[in-house]
Amino acid sequence: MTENNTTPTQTKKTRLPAWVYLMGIGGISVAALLALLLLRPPQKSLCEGPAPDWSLTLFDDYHGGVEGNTVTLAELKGKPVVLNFWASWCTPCAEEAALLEEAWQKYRDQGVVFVGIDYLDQEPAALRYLEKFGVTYPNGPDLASVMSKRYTIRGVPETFFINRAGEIVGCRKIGPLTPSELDQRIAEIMK
Amino acid sequence: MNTMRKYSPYFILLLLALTLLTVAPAVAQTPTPNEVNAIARELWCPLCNGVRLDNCELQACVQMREVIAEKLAAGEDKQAIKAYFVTQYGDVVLGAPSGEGFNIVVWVLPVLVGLIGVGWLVYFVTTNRKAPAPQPTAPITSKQAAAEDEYVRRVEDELKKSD
Repeated sequence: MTENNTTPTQTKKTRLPAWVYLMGIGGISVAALLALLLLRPPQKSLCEGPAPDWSLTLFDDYHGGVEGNTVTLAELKGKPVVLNFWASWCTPCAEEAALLEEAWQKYRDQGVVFVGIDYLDQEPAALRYLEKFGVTYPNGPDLASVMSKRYTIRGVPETFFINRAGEIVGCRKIGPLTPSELDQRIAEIMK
Repeated sequence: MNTMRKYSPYFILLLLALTLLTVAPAVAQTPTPNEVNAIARELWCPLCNGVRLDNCELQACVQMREVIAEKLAAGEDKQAIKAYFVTQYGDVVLGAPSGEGFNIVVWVLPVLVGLIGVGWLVYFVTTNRKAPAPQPTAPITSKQAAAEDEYVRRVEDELKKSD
């Protein structure tokens, strides 16, 4: 019973060297990492937390009293900030455009700063939009989508309310704001 | 009066020539849809997934094509226009990652994987070639033969019974 029942060729298995296994594991790991990076990362909630810093180059004639061509969140520390992402091709943005300008005129003397971020847009169309709705508060393009990536924007309009300490109060507002909602959210960041 | 009549056709011709000289360059500078699409074909809609700019009917895409036309009319070349859109939207508008920074992995990895694959294939083929030829079957032992004979006999008996 102890005799060998099989041929020698059946028992011999070709073993791959260790480097082949290591390279395979390495390749699969890198591919998995790439797949994770390429997949859309989950949207951060950004509720009740420090607002990601940003720097915005403003459109000419849309500085809204800000000195210089750029404005940063760090410079605005100590002031309540309404940060609104919009685009000229966005229909819901048009619904709130006049309201935002009206609120800016109403609250600017109380130190509230409105900043408009033009998302995935073209400057000529954006300027036509700003002119059409009589917008005067600081506005600028989100070049290379740096800000929208930082704030994980999924669409427009989206609005963030940042208090004097540079923290987002509540969560982002997705969709057009109503007058009462805007007043209430501004009251929260003015505390 | 006669002098005026005499020279009026020349005056009209002169006016026409001047008008043509003024209008012609403007007309010539207006890019055709094909010229616009030649650049739009190499750009991708930043709002869509996998839609080229020349095939996109979103308002944002229409605006982008308008900008291409304006820039062509202003005398900018394809590379400058593409660079402008990259500044505006990032690499996403090119439909391919740039070969800088971490993105270089995307370009290098497929080549690396291909090389590893070829290396493995070469190794596999050469190893199999060097493998020893199958040995002749080992001689059957007497116990094996007896067991086999017994088995064959039983099978034959069963077959006979079934007939």
